Amino acid sequence: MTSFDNAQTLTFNVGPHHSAAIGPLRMKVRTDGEMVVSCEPDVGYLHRGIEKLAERMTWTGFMPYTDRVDYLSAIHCNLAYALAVESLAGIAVPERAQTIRVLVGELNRLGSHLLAVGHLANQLGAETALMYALRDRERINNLFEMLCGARLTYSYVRIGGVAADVTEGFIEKTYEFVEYLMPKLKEYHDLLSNNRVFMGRLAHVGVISPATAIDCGLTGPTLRASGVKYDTRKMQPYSGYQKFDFDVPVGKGEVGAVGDAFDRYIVRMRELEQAVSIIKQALDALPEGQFSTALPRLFKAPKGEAYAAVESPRGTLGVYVSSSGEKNPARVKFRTPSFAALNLFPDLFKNIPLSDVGTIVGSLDIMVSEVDR
Amino acid sequence: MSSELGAISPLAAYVGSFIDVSLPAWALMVAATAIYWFVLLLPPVAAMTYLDRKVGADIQMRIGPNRVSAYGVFQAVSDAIKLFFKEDSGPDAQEGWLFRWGIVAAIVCVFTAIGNIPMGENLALSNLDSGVIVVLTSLCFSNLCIFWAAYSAKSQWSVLSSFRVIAMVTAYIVPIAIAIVPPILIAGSPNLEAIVRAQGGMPWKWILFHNPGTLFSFVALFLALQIWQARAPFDHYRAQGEIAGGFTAEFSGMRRGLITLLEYLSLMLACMFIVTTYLGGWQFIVNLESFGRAANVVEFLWFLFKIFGLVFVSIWIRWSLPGLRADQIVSLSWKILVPIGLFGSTLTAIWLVVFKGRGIGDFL
Repeated sequence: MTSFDNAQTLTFNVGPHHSAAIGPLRMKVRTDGEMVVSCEPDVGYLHRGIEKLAERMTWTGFMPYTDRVDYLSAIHCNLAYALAVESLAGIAVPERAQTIRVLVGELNRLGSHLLAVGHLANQLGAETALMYALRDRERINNLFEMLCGARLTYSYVRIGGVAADVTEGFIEKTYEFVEYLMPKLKEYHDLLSNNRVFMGRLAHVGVISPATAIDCGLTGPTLRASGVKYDTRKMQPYSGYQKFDFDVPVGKGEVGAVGDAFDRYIVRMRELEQAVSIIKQALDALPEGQFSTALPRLFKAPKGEAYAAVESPRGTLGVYVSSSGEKNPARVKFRTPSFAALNLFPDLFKNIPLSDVGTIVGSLDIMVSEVDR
Repeated sequence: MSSELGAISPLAAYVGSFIDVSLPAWALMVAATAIYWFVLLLPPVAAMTYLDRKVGADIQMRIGPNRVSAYGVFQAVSDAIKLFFKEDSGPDAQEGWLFRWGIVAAIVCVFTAIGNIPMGENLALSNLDSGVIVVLTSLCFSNLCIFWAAYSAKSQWSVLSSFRVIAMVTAYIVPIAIAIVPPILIAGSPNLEAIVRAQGGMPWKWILFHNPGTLFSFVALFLALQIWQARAPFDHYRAQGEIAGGFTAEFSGMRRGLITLLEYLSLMLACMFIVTTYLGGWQFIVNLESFGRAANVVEFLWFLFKIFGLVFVSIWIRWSLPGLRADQIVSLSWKILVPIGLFGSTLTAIWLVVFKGRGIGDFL
């Protein structure tokens, strides 16, 4: 690249603060007029050193920090950490706690996917769809508030079970919500999925081939949209997911190519339906019993290491814990799906119009708090 | 003198007819301009901002403005006062006067176009034989002024946004120029007053229903004017999600307020232009000769009623659809609007020859 070429390009700092960005992700985008020449993601604007903080915390005291790894799916972060510690310490989780974990996890997935779809629409200028998404997510937040008092950072899943049994009326309210949501999903399809403008903006945009997706370590809806049927809930079932009957939707290239932005969108929409079905099953089959196993007051995990992974709304969220037998972890490491998605950026953002940058970022559903930790 | 003035500015002559003393023509023009701006134009535009917020809020299941006076009716006034007291800042490297006056110049262009459109019998600020041409030229010039303001702000987003402004000219001006042909053919003149006179009050006397072709060119004109206004979904050069609002982000205080004013004036102009050329203009459904001067009020309100019908449709579109990409806007324009506009114009020309200038309404 000669300096003359350099003079012909414009450099845009998309972020860390951008009017349609979800979090402080900075992208250094060079364009030749409208067309993007290169794009470098720059991460670290939301780094809080959560993994390092864990080393000074007690095993149980670290739980609220896991909420902040991905604040839109706090339950999944709680759960991944709890599962890792449980497998390290060999703690058995009661049946009831396991089903409650599935129930709240899927509720959280609904909220996260709704927001992902809403933000994608907002990136394209359809603010109304975001408002619809927020309207429905509000009910999920109310349910969580009823359950554990928090609306965003729940810390509801604990090592050995959950923080408390479901509150009175929660089950009925959740039934009510599920009945409410199913017809509402049609509204999203009317407003977005069957909207030709929306299709036109997403079709053939940001196509990720299955091979690239696997090479970059993509997981979750983003990987499944490329046609790879991989779901941690099916491959390595946890919390009794093997007992639930649900489908894993994959991208089929309905309006464009397999693995384009529309596929990522539609896979999320279909996962909403699956999550509703799982919630219904969990509500129907909620067993009686304990909601948690008692832990010693000062819990110490035995020496060793463990890894556990859950299917968060953004993909496989893994937690590795290492213990030296002390009251605090020796090392905690999060394997987060959004960080893997950043690997795609240099290749994906080439020879596309600047208009599509936001579309692709929105369709990848990148959570910056999860990227930086 | 009055008849001479009436040929140039019907409104000035009309104002003069209310007073006994004979005023010089320039004084009448100034008075007419002030009345046109502040009595006829600004109240509907202010109502439009309120309607946009309230209808938009309703579509999004929000409440919308409800704090300033009952139902938030005076929110626009409150906003204007607030904006006047905000700091007037600009980017450091701003190109002085172009940055400061670009938006004002664009508003002048839009107002130039609006002044040609009769809002009732005698309620046109100017009556030019080349009315349609002046409107079309003003549309283009307003975008050129926006380009100046955007380009001279000199931030990357703003510069890109200024390129997009110019790119959009290619998207809207050809469909508009083609879609405006049927009314000119039917009226036999590009004079907007003549186009209104060629229509009647009842819907079947409108040019919209003159022949099957005009329906097509009406759609082309409506959509092309939406592209010109750059309201969502055609807000390509000031898209929030893509280029962070484009040039609008560089303006603060009342300068930002002027952009909003420009946006609503543009909406007003687009709707006025369509109503005048296709929807019968100010002509009321019944003959108002017995009403005397009150007829003007009725015609004006009837004209506004039609405008607000179109405004409502624009608001509906604006709050429902995602934005289009540049290539999508241009292909919409050249692959759909231009062909249907051409079809409409050609059919109208043939129809006029075959049926000797009569429309469907004349056969009823």
